[in-house]
Amino acid sequence: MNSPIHLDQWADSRKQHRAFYMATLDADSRITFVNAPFLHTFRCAKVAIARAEFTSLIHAADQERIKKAIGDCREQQAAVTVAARVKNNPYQWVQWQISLFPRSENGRLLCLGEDVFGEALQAMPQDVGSNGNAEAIIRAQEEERARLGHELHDNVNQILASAQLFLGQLDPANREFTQVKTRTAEILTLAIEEIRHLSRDMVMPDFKEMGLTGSIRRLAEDLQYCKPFDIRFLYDNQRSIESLDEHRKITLFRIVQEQIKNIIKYARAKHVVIDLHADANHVRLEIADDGRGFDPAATRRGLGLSNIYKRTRLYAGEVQLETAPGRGCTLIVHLPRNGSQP
Amino acid sequence: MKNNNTKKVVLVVDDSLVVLERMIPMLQDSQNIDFVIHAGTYREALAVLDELKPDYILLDIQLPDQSGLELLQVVKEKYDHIIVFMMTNQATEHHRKICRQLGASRFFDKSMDFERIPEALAVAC
Repeated sequence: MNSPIHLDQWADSRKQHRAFYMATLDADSRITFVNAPFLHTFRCAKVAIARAEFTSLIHAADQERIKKAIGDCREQQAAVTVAARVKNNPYQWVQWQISLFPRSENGRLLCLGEDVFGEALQAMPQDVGSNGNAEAIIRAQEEERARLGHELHDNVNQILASAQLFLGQLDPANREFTQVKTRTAEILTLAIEEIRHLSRDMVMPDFKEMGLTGSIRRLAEDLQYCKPFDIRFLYDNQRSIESLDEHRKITLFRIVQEQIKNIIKYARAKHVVIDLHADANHVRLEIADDGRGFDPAATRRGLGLSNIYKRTRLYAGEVQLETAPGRGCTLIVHLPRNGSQP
Repeated sequence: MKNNNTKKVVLVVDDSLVVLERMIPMLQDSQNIDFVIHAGTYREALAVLDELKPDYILLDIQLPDQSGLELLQVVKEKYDHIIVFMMTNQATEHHRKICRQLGASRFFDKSMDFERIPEALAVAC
């Protein structure tokens, strides 16, 4: 379509269920038009959006960059691409394409934006049916942040607090000086390890390089190294697995991570088996452990398990949980292979 | 967000790219319209309504998730002061009648009267 304004990406985004932001700015770079996804995302800026300066919705650290991009666009009469974070949400990056509004003689600009990072936004279809799209995404982001906050508070913070206590006892005149110093160094090493684990959890593996099977194998190898339990990863039809779309691969990988975390935390398992199988229509992931199990009816579903259910539901998939006290736990996830988002 | 007394806020609810492309510049050239919001679905429109209080809505009958007629009904029940203009490619007498009964102020055939929509809006503003 020979479109007077380049909104063809907007149409694509709708088909692909992605968030796509649109805004137009007047000659003073104040906002005169927005679309609904823009309102949802930028409401956290707590700025009245109508006629607000566009830069007032941008994270303080990125405002200068946006101002420069707008200036360049006006000066060079050409489209400019720039990435910036959303005000009050430093985790959400949006890539903006700022261009002159076609046939506009009054300095009007068109800003088209797409999410850059944020697994919640990229992995989850934007339009998730009756769940309410933006709400599901925001909830997922909030939960991820809460989890991160808990990890930092419960692990890293406690370890560093201990190190601080030990440092307070450091006195060269004390005959235990060397012992206290060594212990402090050990505690700090532990804190570094915790942060390393946490950041590895957050960064997605490169599926292009290792594939989903390679990434899960790497995860299993890492666990073997610290030997919490014996772990085996089985899969068949690798070609079929690797031809899954990126979103489903991310979802499956995150589910494996979540369940492994659950097993480490609660199960006291000796053996774990991960089994992944894909055919033309479905993908099936099974994670079985021989740990102490639990009574699902009497146990509140924790954040990890609840994330697994949510991620699966987003793709109209199903979760089966087979467990009982003393009888281990088997988690089975079925995802439809294509389309059919809920 | 508060609405200015003289300048108006307009919500366009339509999932058609062509309509959006043509409508934005026309509305933005209007002196009396201060701010335009676009929603492509029933759900997006509902969320926008709860957050912003537009003065006018340009509403397509055929939306991808639910009927524009249902949205018209909700708007008139919850926000009676909002003036709603219906626009459709199914401009039958039956639809006209239903829209009138549900409280729409104007009814436009998109294929015939499109150019008249911003004009009518400017007059109403």
